[in-house]
Amino acid sequence: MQAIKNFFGFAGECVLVFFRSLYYLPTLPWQFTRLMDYCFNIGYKTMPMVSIMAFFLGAVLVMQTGDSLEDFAGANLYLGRISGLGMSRELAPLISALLLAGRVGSSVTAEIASMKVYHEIDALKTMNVPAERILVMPRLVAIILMMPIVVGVAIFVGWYGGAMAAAHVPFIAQPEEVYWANLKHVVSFHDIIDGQIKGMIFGVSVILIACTQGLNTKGGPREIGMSVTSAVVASMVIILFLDFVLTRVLM
Amino acid sequence: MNHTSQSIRVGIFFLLGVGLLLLMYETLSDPRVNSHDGYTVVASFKNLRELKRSDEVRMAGVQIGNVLDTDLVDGKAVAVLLIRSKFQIPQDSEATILTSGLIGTNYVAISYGDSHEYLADGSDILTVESPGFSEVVAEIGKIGEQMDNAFKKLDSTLSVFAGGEGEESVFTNLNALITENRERLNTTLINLEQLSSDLVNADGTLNRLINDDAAYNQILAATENLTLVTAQASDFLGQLKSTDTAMGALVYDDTLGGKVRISFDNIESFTTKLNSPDNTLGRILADDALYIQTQETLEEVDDAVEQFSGGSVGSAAGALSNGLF
Repeated sequence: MQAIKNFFGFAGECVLVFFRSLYYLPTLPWQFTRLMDYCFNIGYKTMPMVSIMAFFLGAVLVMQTGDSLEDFAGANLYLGRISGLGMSRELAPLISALLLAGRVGSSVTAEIASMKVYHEIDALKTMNVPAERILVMPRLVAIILMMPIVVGVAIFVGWYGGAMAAAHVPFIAQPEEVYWANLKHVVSFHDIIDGQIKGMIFGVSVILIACTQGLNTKGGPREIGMSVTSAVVASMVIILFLDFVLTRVLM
Repeated sequence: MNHTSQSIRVGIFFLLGVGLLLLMYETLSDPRVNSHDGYTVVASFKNLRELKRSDEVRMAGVQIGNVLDTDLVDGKAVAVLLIRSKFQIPQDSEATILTSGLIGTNYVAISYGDSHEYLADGSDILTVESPGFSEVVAEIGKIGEQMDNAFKKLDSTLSVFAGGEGEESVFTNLNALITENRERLNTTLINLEQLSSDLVNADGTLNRLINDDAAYNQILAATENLTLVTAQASDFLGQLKSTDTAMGALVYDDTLGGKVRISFDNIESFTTKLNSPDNTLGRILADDALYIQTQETLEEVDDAVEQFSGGSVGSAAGALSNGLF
């Protein structure tokens, strides 16, 4: 019972934090440096990791499907569409969001939680600077700006990984042209938009959960650690749940 | 790291990302068919199958344009083809929808006609329907239906054996036959059994023939006699051959044969002489002059006799004959 109460309390707080942040959106031009800082952390520094993950995920996807489709003569022609649709609609936003939850969400929670524990948030409040204004809102804007780029790169690198696997794994040995032609024939930009919508919602959820969890932390260093753990776990669970709902909605 | 370089990196990263998304958009969205460069040709088909906007139009394998639009007009599927202005299509060219590869995309193939008149902007092009994969499958389905019918007929034929509704089947007839004649069949079988057991138990003539020694011995004796007879016959033939006997000489001696031949020759020459009119006997046989003379003589005799009997009644002979008859 307490757990359900906590869950709804936490969800409500997330929504409140989100709207309070939107309220402070007009102050963005004065926080440009901070926004750039967050963008650098969220987008630029996440990029290599996302690229590596997407590349190998695409390659593995093509290898697995290529291996299982080998039993059906000619079915390997579908590799392009499997990898194309799978990466753009599902895997690229999902792995980007999971990676962000681990890499960015944890650091955001740790930062805000320690600020809360060491009363820096209270100090800001005393100076009439709400935490949402300088800690949450710029991060949300940063992730809204960066998430499409991250997801787009993930999609493209994933496709490329698939093409590499299709061309260079001996038992598939499909020319890259065939892979790309099949991919182009099936995947439309609509699929990428769907992926971007997913990625955007995942990203915003991750940042909101991380910030709210950080702002809710009470106690000492031990609680900071617990906060980080629970923020990451909650983010991942929420991402997977939202993924199911969004896939159903966007289908 | 100062804020400026950080901002620059983020900016470059952002721009590159947006560029990548734009590139994807350009690649994946339907290629824009630029209708300024070229002219349109209308091709109407029964079925466009999977032909869609921006699919290729090829002539002899060379892409000469794209499908500008697809539409349904009066139950006919119409594809508007945009042909690049540098390619000209003869008026009797024919358009077909083909599939590239096994599961690949469809394209419109245009054959190159013989005409020297070229299609103008907006004109209709001749079309040829080519069977699609689904139509081939439908054909196979029809074949299946026919096979089904054939099997049904076979089934009805077989039901004569199995007995249809209210019909007497072959098997029921057979059954009735057996049921009616059960007694007779039984007795026949019993007789057969009796017969075979008799055979085994040495009763009856046949069996005695088969199993009895006496018959065997008799047959053996008969065979021995037969052998003896054959030996005697061969002996006789040997004696015959040795020409001591008259028969043997007749059969085997050459001199006798020669004599016989000479006798036959003599007989032959005798008959020829007999036939020829050179000698008396032959003349008698062959010449009819004698016969004619004889006949005349006889006639004269006849006349004389007639005169004798009719002319002198008072003669002695006449009196005698009258008295007698």
